[in-house]
This record gives sequence, structure tokens and C-alpha cells, in this order.
Amino acid sequence: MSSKTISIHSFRGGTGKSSITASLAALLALEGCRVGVIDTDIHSPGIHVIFGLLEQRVTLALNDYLWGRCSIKEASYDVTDSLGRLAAGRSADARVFLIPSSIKTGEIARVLREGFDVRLLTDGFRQIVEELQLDFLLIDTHPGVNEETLLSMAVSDRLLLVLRPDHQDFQGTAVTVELARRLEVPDLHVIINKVPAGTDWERLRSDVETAYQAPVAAMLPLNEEVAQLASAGVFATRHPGHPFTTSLRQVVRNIGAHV
Amino acid sequence: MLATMLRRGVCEILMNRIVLYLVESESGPPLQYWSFSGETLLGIGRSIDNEIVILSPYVSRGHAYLSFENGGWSANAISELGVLHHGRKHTRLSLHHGMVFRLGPHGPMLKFSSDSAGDTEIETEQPGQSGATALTLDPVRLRSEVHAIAGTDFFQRLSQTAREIRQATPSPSTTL
Repeated sequence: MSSKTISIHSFRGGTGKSSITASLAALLALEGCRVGVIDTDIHSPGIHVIFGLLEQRVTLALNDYLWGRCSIKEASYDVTDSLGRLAAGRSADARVFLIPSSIKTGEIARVLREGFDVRLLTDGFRQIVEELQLDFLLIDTHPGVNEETLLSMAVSDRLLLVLRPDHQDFQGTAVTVELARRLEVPDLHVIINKVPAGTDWERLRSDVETAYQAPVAAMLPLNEEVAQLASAGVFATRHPGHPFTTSLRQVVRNIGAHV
Repeated sequence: MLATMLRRGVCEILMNRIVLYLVESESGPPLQYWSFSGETLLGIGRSIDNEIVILSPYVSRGHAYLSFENGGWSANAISELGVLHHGRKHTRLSLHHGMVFRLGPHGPMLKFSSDSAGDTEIETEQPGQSGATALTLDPVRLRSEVHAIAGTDFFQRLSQTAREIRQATPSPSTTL
């Protein structure tokens, strides 16, 4: 299987991007894949919480790699255990590695102050795929359109844009879609999250597909269970039969079909 | 229906105005609403012959109905998914002003509001009329925002960098 890099992005925060990323990683691993997740949301890291990666365990983070203090592999952590027994029962090959961003305020401040060489980041993507022999690398990006986010998108094989069905997300995501096209992102899909009940699902799908000229990979319901779990675990493995998980499994199948 | 109306008198029924709010959570803001006056039986479900049409995959075609009897409203489940209140499934649930109930275990939540409590804040709607709006793009704003970013030297350099990186490390999908 050849490897594949997928950026998961949203125009604004709070779309559920990190939860979706974590669940996608889990579902890919359950298919027996080796999956890497890299938190490039250096300004406001968060996905490590979902994978239950404790602060004390993180001796080296993505920041250390970007400052030249370590290799990117040294900043990666095997978080397969966070998927629970489900993953253990499936396949010996199933693995999820997380490359977290530092949550130390000093490190975050340094990134904001000094910036970093974005080429180093994209080199890191390639290195981690090779060194950990990943089938998939999922990039959890920083919301908005900054340099490293745009570059992450541009070097990915696929871009998943997550939005909520509200006007601000709809308009902002349209800008991202346009920029992604100009950056020649090869494969762009949309995930609509937090769709309230009462929504005409087919109309929403067609509104979005018409406006963006891009396929909607999944529509996920606004759901109390998802909100309740918040960041306290990977939803897809906690609730394998939930409609939220079922929809994401279709995205995984779709991703797999393109490999 | 007519027999009940005659029994209670038309006046009382006309006063009997209710609003159903679709809500994200018990305390969340309403996403959509339906208001009715003078009705005593209201269907809730996915199919369009209901008074309250909710196009959700977690709602049955004919999921439940609200009925006004003996001076009070109740929600009655038709679907086996039931009507839930505080996580408990009911086939019949007496409704009070401000109460939130859920259609099935994964379905949407509805908040019941009766006029008699005096704080329904929405102006009179046609029965069953929905308050949700569709998504629309502002193409002028879109063009100007894209131009403001894509037209900069920064973006041009970035595009160039991206192209170089892709050429240096062709993605596996293109080398196959």
C-alpha cells in the first residue's frame, strides 16, 4: 500500500475537526493501517487530549523538531492503546502514532514570536511517513489560512474541509476552497459536521456541492453524545455503532479506495 | 377532533397557543421553531404530512404526535424509538412549559412552550411554518477576500514553494 497524506482543515475553530481527525485515524487503524496524526495546530494544540496522551509523557514535541532539537520520529508517540480493546482485537499491524505540538506556553509563544521554517515541517511529513512506515498521515491543521496550513494543504494528497452549516463557516470555507484550488490541491472533499436535526440533508449537500464544486464526503449530525464525550476519548472507538461513526467509516472507505 | 372542540368551547382552544423549538441542548439556543394556535393534534415526523416535519435520519416518518386533552398537552410516541425525557423512554409524556424532550435515543431535542405561561417570544407564524434559513454565498465578498490573499507576494511565493516541494517529493499516488 502506498502512503497517503491527508490534511484536515476548518476555516474556524469549534467545527469538531480534531474529533473527526482522531476518529478517522482510529477507523483507518481498525482496517489494519499504520496511521500517523500530526498536530500542526501549534498555536492551540488539542488533539493529544483526545488520544489520552498525558503531558508528562510528552518529553519532545513537534516544536522540538522544528527547532532542530530532535528528529520527528523522536517526537512521535504510539497512542494505539487509546483505541481500547477494539483495536487490539483487529490486526497486529494497526497502529496510531501521534506527533503532538507542545502545550508549554513558552514554546507556543516562541512559535508565535519567531515563526519557523515551513519547509522543515513538510520535510517532517515525508520523514515520519518513511520512518514509521505509515500508510496514512493525517495533518490536524490550525484553523484559518496561515502559511504552514496552506503549505500543509498544498503538499497533501487530499484535503478534507470540515464546516458547520452556518453562514460564517459557509462563506469562510468558500475562501479556503478557492485558495486550495490555486495551490493545486489535488483532491478536495468537504465534511459537514454538527448538522442540526430539522435540516434538509439533501438540500444542504447540494447547496454545498454546488457552491464549492467539491464532493461532500460526509454529513455528521449535531449530536449530544459527541458533545458529551468532548475530548475525553476517541468517539469512533467508544461508539462504534453510532451514526456519527458509521458516516465517518464511509469517508475511510472512500479514502481507502483511492490508495 | 370536532367533538373535543365543542366540549371545551372554541375560545379556550383559540387561546391555546404553543411553540415547539428545535434545540441543540437543554439550555441551547433554538435552531428552528413551529408555532400553533387552536390546534389539538399535531403530528411530528419525517414525512411531509406531519405538522412538524423534521428531516432527520433519526426520526421516524410518523414519529409521535402532540395532543391536547383535559386541559393539558402530551407527547405520544408512534415510533418504537419513543419519546425521551431525561434519558427515559416514554410512550406518553405530559408536557409542561419549558420542558425538553427528545425524539428517539439519537434524535433531535424539542422544547415545548405554552402560551399560558406567557413567555413565548416569537410572533405568530403560519401553522407549521419553519424559522430556519438556507445557506447562501456572498460572491462579491468571496472574490475580494480571495483576491486579498491570493494576490499577495506571500501567496505567490507559497504557491511556488508548494510546487517545488511536490516536484522534489512526488506523492506516491502520482508515481504509481
